[in-house]
Amino acid sequence: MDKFNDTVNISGHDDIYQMIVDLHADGNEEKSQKINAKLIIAMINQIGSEQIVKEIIEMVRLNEEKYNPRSSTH
Amino acid sequence: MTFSDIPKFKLKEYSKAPELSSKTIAHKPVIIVGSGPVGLAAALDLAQKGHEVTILTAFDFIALGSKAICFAKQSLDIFDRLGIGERIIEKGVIWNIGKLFWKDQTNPVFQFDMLPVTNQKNPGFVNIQQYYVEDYLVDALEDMDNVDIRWGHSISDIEVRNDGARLDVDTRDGSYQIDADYVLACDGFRSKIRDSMGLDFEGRIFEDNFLIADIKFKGKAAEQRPSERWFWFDPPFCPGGTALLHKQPDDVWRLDFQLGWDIDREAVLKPENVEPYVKGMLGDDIEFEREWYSVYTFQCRRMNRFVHGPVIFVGDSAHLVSPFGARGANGGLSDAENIAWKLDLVMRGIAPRSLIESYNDERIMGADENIRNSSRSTDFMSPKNEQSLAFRNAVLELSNDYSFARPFINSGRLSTPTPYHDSPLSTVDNDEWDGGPKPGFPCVDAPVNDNEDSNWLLEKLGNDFKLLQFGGKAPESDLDVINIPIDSLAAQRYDAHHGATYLIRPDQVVAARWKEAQADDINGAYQRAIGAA
Repeated sequence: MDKFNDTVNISGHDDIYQMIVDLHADGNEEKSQKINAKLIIAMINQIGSEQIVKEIIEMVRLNEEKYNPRSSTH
Repeated sequence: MTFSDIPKFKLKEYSKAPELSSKTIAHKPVIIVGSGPVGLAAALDLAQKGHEVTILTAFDFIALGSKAICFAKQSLDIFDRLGIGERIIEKGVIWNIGKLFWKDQTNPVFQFDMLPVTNQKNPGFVNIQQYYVEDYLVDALEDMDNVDIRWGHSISDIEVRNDGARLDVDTRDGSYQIDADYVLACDGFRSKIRDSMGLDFEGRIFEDNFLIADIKFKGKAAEQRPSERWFWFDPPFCPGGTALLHKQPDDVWRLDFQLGWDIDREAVLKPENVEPYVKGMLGDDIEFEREWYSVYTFQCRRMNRFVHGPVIFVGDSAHLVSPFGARGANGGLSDAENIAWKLDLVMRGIAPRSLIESYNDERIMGADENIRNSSRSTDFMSPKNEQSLAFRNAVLELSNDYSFARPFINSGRLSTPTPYHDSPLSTVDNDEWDGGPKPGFPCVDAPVNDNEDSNWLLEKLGNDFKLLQFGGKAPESDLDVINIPIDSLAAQRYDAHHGATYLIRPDQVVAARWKEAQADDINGAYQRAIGAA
């Protein structure tokens, strides 16, 4: 079974981080949303496993909930 | 009741109910309420199985107008079984290819084939106006002695009783009551029966308006257009929206435009306002005539339960979907087929009454799949917030250059039969299989190559339980056996080239299968499939 690797799996982190920040350099919110969407869609295809994508989505959901919990009173 | 605002395809003759001149209340085995394709198909199925069928419909005509046009392969297989398949194929426009366009580009971003498995009798889809389907079903029903179609008889109330249901019926000559053991409510999304019983839908309503223009469009420009489903995202003639084009018989074309939620319905329908949309899609120099224009909105909702004692909801009365994916009429026809064989066995005393409950289980699976797919298509076409809009546009922009993004494009996932995972009627596999339809899955068609007249597997199935025997000899049972050679394409598609036995339900769904079947296995699986285990 495919499994999401939650340990370090690549090098060149500073370069990669900078490339992402540069992609969003013009500060246009709408454009940035679409750029991020394109990154996600391309990376999902590269990952090539529905199971791993599911695990990543779940990891993000839990992490987001931990640091930015939704208020319990709606 | 008059329906002066409804355009009519064909008038039908009202007849006075015999009950109006009788003091006793008649009792029928089964009454079908509604004369749409779903009610008529259920009626014909039951009538062909030998039952006395009464149809009550408020209309005394077959209605014209923009309704269902896309009939999927599984519906064509049902029509074949009911004997009207050839008429529908002959009249209809066959298509298998769908193309997706974006903005003003003339080359499609993506195209798909609706019949990825070739060598099957029926095509992926046939486009034909709903009124032709109704007309052919009515023709077949009118040929039968055990069918009573009562045109112009509208239901005003229903009372569910211990031994069936009592209907109050209004006609131009007065009102009468009639009893039935079973009532199939096929009376559409505004179902009077559902209202009278205080039942409702649950689910989402989408606030978006779509313009349908059915037009007559002939000449060279029309002839050059292939019979394919064309879909546009954000075309210049409908900025920010989507548009859809389908070819129908008689040179009629279905054009569909997304208008947004804030529109003036009356103004939109004026011919001078429709014309720019039509010409924008098909070309400025074309000539066309209006067949029918309408504006629709839609809902993706269903009833909590479809079976309420002796009253069974079938088709739009039980569930609604958006039109993208052709899941309305096709889903309804699958409902009709599912309930018809079960009611047949129950009314003949072969199966216990509880078999009807499996209609509730299985067709709720069908409705949920249709609702899920059509809601997702709608969310792709009309993104509900900035992020989903960003994703939608990201998919389209990437797809234009890269194939990897194209499968994300959702212009409607077109109707295919719903597999009944974990159906209570299925017997779970005990053997190892490398393919073939699993229990609960629809049979796949294939050539049989047995030198008989009918060379298609699906033509040999249906109407009753059948044993498909690939090679060898079927164990002793009361069921009809169909012997299939193991060197056929059919055997390949059923993972049966070393021999196998399949038990097939009357609706051409696999009930159970074995590599080496024993008589006890078959009997046990059959009992389970009729709800008796």
